[in-house]
Amino acid sequence: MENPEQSLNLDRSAGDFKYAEDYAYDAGVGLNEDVIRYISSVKGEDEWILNFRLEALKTFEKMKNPTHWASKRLDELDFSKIRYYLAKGAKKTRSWDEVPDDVKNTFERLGVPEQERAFLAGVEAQFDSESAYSNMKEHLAKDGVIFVDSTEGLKKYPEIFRKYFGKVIPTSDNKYSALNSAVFSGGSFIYVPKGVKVQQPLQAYFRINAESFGQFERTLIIADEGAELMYMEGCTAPRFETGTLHSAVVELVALKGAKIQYVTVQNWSDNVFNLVTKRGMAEEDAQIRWVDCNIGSGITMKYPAVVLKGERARGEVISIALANAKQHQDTGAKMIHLADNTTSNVTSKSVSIADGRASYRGLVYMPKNVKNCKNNTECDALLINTNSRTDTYPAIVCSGEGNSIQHEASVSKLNEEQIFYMRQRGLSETEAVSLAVNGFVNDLVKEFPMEYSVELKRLIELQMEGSVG
Amino acid sequence: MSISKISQWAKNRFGEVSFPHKKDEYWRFADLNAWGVDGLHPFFTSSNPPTSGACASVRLKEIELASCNVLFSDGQLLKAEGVDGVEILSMADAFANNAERFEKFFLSAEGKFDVFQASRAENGVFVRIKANSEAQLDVGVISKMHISACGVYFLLEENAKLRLNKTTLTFGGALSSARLGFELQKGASLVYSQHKYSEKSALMYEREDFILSENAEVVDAMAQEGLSHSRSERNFYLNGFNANVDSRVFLKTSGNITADLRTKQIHSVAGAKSNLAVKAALNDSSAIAFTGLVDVCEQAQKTEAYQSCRSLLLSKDAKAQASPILEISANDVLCSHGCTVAEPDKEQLFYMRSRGLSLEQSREMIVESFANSTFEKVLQK
Repeated sequence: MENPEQSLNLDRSAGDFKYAEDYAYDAGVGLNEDVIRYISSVKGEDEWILNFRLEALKTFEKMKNPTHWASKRLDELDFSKIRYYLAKGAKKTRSWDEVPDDVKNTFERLGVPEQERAFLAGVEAQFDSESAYSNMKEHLAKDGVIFVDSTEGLKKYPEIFRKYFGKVIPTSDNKYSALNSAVFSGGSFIYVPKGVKVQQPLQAYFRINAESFGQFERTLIIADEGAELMYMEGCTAPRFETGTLHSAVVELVALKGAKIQYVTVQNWSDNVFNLVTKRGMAEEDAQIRWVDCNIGSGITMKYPAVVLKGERARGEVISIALANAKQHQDTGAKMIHLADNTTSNVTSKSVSIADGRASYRGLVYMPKNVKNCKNNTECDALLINTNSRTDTYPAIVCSGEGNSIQHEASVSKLNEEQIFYMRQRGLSETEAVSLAVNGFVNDLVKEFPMEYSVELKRLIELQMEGSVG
Repeated sequence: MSISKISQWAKNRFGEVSFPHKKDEYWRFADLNAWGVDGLHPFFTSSNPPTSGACASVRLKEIELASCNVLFSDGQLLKAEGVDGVEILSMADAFANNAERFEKFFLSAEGKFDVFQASRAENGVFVRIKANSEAQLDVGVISKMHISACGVYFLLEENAKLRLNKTTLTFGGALSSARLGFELQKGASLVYSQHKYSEKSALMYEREDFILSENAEVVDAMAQEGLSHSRSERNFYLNGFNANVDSRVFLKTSGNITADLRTKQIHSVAGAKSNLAVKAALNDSSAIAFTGLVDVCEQAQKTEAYQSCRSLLLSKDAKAQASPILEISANDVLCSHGCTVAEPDKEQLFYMRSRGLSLEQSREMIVESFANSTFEKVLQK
C-alpha cells in the first residue's frame, strides 16, 4: 500500500512443475474435421456423438468472440495453435498401487495427503484429458451411484447420458460451449438414483500438463428425485510460456427434491484462459448450489447459472475471486426464475491485487408469468493497491406478481486501523494484509468443505506475498 | 468550424450512425422498435400534420407556461426574458465568441440521438450566469410538431448560483429532443428541478451533460410521467476537487411504454462526491430500463459515489430492468450501488385498508411516500 508502484514478484514456483510428455494419443495442433474424427475414433464413440461433434464445430466456426462486451484479450487466442486431444495410453487403473508413479507424484505436490485419500469417497482424477485414476468406494456402487468419466458414461449408460447431454447447455449457447461440444474429452458423469444421499463428497482433481494444450472436459451430473450429492473439483496448473485454454462445460440436473452442491477451487497459472460454461437445472423443490473460488489464470470468464424450472426450486452461488497482477477474473452468476415461489441467492466477494481486475457480471431474470420469487444478490469488492480495479455489471429483469429482487454492491479498501493494530502486535505488513484479506472472505470460505477451506487460506496467503510493502 | 457546418456535419452523420445494437451491453434493454426508423422518420419527410395538438390532459392546463423566463416551442426560442445576472444569447452569437466550447459540446455527440440534436445546433441558446450572481430561471420546452430539437448551454461562472425550474411537455405525435449542457465553474451551484410530461404516441428524448469544476455543486430532482416512450441520458462529469452531485429521479409510468434512463457518474479527479437515486413506480405494462455507470478513474482517490435504483411494481405486467454498473480503478474510495424491485408492501396496504382507506387510496399513498424523498433535497435548498 505504501509503495503502490512496486512490481509484483510472486513466487509461483509451487505450481511450476511438469513431467515428460509421453502421450500415446495426440490429435496434433489445430482444429478441423479430421481432428474431431480422430478424437471420436480414438474414443470409439458412436455415430451420433461424432455427428454431434461435427455440428458443434460448424457452430463454433460461425460464432464470434463476444468481445463487444467481454475482454478484448479473447482475440489473443489462436485456435490453430492449440492441441485439442492428448491422452496417455495407459488404461484406467482401479487401485492406488496401479497408478503410475509420476501421477502419484503430482498428487503429492498438490498436497493430497495419504490419509485423506481413504476418507475421500471416490477420486476421479483427470490427468490431462483422460482419467488416470478412478476409484469408487464399493458402497457407492452398491447404491447404484454411477461415477465415471464422461467417455465411459457415454459408452456404458447412453440411455441416461443422451437424455440430458447438451440439454442444459446447448451447443450454440456461446462460442466456447460450442468448442467444448466439438472436442470434449474427460470430465465426470455422475448419476445418483432416486432417494440416494451420497454422504461423502465426490472429488475430481485435474490438471493441465502439456504446453498449448487445452482441457475440454465435459461434466454431466444428474441427481434423480430426492437424491443428494456434493461434487468437488480442484485445479492447479503448471506454468507455461504460451497461453493455454481451459474450456469446460458443466451441466447439472436436479430432479424433483434433489440437492446438488458443486464446489470448485481453481488456481490456474496466469497464462491460462479459463472460459467455462456452468449451468444447472432445478426441478420442483430441488436445490442447486455453486461454490466457486477463482484464483489465478490470465482471464477467467465463468458465470455459474441456475435455471429454476420447478416450483419452490432454490439456486445459490457463492463465489470468491482473487485477481492478482495482470489477471482478470470476470465471474458472476445467473439466476433464471421460470416457476413460482423459486428463490435464489448470490454472494460474491472479490479481491484485486496490484493491477489485477475483478469483475462481477450477473443476471437475475423473473418474467411476468411467475409469482412470489425472491432473489438477493450481494457483491463486495476489496481493492488492495492504488492501481487495482473492480467492476460490477449486474442485469436485472423483473416483472410479475409478488416477485422481488435486491442487489447490493460495495467497494472498499483495507482498513488501515486494522493493519496498524496487527502490525503493533508484531505481524509483518504482508502477514497483516493477508490476515485482513482472509478475514474479508472468511464468511464465504466457511462455506467450503473443511479440506478446501484450509487449502484456500493457504492459496490466499501465497497470493498476498509480495503484494504489499 | 462554423455553426452551420456543425449542423451540416450532424445531418450527414445522422445517416451514417446506426441505431445501437441490442447486443451492446449498454443498450441491452433498449426498446428499439419504439425508437426505430418510424420514430425518427419524420425528421426527413416532415409534411404530415400533428396527430394531436389539443391540451388533452388537465395537468397541461395547470401549468402556467406564460410565467416562464425562457420558452421553447417546437425547437424555436419564443421568449427569453432578462433576469438580473443572466445573459441569454442565441447559439449563433455565442458561437462567434467562443467557438471552441460549443464545438466540443456538439461534436461530443456519438449515438444516433445525440447527432440528431446537433443537426439543429443553430436553434440553440446560450445562457450565462455571471460570476458571483444569484438567479432563478423558469424554462419551458413544448413540442407539438412532429419533430423539435433544442439545445441549451448553461454556463455558471465562478460562484454563480442558479435555481432552475424546467417543464417539458410533449404532445401526442411529436418527437421532442433536447440537449442541455451545464458547465459549472469553480464554486458554482445549480439547484435544478424539472417536470416532464408527455402524451400518448409522443417520443421524448433528452441528453443532459453536467460538467463540474472544483467546489461546484449540483442538486437535482427530476419527475417524469406520461404515456409515451422516453429516453433520458444524464452524464455527470466530476472534474474538480470537492465537486458534489446529488441527483434524484422519480418516474411514474403507465400504459405499455418504456422509460429508458441511462446515467453516468464520471469521477476523473480525487475528492469528489456523487449520489444518484432513481425511483420508478410502474403501472400497467410499462417498464423502466435503467443503465447506470459509476466510473472512478485511477487518480480519483477519496471519491464517494453512490447509485441506487428502486422500482415499485404496481401491476403484474409491469417490468423493471436495471443494470447498475460500477467500474472502479482507485482503491481509496467509498462506492456502492443498490437495486431493488418489489411490490407495495402487503402489510402496509392491510394497515391502511383496516383504517378505512380504499385499495386505490392506499396504493396512491404508498407511491406518494415512495416518491417523496426525490424532492427533499431540492426543497431544502
